[in-house]
Amino acid sequence: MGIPAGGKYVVPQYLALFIDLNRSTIEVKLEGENDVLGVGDAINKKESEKLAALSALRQLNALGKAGHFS
Amino acid sequence: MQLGHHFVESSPRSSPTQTTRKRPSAADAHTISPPQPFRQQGNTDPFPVYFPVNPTKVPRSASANTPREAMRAFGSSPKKHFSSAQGGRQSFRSGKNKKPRHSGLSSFHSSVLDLPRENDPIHDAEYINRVHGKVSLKEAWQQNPKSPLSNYLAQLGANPVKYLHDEILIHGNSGWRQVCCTPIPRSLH
Repeated sequence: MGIPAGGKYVVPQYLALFIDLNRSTIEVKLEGENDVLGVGDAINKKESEKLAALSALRQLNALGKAGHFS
Repeated sequence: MQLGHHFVESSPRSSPTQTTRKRPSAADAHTISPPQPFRQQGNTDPFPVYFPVNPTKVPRSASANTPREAMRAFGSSPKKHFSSAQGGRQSFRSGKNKKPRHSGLSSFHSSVLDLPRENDPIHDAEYINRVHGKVSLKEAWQQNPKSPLSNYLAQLGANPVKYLHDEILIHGNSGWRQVCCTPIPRSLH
């Protein structure tokens, strides 16, 4: 920042982006097992909810709960 | 102004030697090397953006001779400077002393609504599939995961699903955090 080069100051250039992010989380408490926490971040709320559900669903699937999904 | 006043107080390097270098005598002027023209331009402010105060109000003894010294003095308490410069936006970052907005939430949800740490990743689709995608999932469930999850939660008695929102910062970006509360009856746990 402001390092002189050749007797002149180099003006630093910064590029900042203002991004609105939404995070959805869903917690599923399981008896006798660790709780499942699904978290999803996206630009809009609907997509973040979908990602949170996908995260929770994948964790439940890994625990062998796929038989109760339908 | 407070920012300039703080700058004056937090510059411990305003030693008498620097003062003498700042105002060299005629004999010392010959010892100044040529590749340092910014010393001869002492009235120009090298950081006009970061100093909202009038530079003429800052004592000359507090002003640094070199940019490196100026950055050292300026960096003594950068958070206070930025919090003053951003006009209250910094209050969202200082979430340590911030009380949770939803006082009725459980400890889990209040912790979720806290500001994320620096190592908190953004849970996008790529991250979820990379971390939790070890076991294959049906394509239909991947496309619409809310439906099978709703079915599963309905079997546990957690219906309907409530959503809560709070404003957060993720990686320095302002946004809204949603918390999906699924009140599951304790008898079904």
